[in-house]
Amino acid sequence: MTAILPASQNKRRALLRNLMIVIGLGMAACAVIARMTDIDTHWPMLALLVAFCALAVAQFNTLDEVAKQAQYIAWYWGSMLGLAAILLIQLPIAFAGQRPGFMQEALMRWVDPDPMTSFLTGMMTTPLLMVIGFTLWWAAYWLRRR
Amino acid sequence: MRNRLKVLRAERNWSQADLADKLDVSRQSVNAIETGKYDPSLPLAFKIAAVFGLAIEQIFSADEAAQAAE
Repeated sequence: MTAILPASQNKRRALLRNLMIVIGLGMAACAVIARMTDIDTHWPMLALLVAFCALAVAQFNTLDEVAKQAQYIAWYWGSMLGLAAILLIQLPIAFAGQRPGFMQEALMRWVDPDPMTSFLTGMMTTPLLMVIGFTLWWAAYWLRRR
Repeated sequence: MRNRLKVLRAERNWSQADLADKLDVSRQSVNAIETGKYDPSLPLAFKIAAVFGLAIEQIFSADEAAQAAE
């Protein structure tokens, strides 16, 4: 794979990043198609996701040390922020024994009330909030060093 | 840690992007090092020194506060 990529680390990183953007757009298109039509996009979506993950690993290896440190710090503190957000949602449930109103409304609007969907939604909530925390922390860290 | 990257760049009429290309790092990384927001690793410091044809200690020096503590 390294033979077909540019020798310059900067050009290699840019190429992989652009490919990831294209694949990300492809995944978004699959999601829109699945929502607006009856076409089953699970397999194309899975294939794109696997390709995206492979490129993400390759792209991480092309990052220089400053960018890598930004990733490490953002993942540690940003994901911690996401976990803290989960705690804020969990506290009213733990103490009052019921879901906050905004959660109830969001669940009713976006999630089918069957057990499997509820389970999957719960499973995805923590990593999603961690990724949001990571993204915010990374953006703040990186923009301050531009 | 303090550094003379900006001065050395100016002497050679290099932009941050030029130096980034020579070091094979991003321009943002050059800026972070130049402004003292990031201290480079020893391998990168050696690479910077090689690009300028100088010794590491001619480019990087400890902070005055750190030197005073020693």
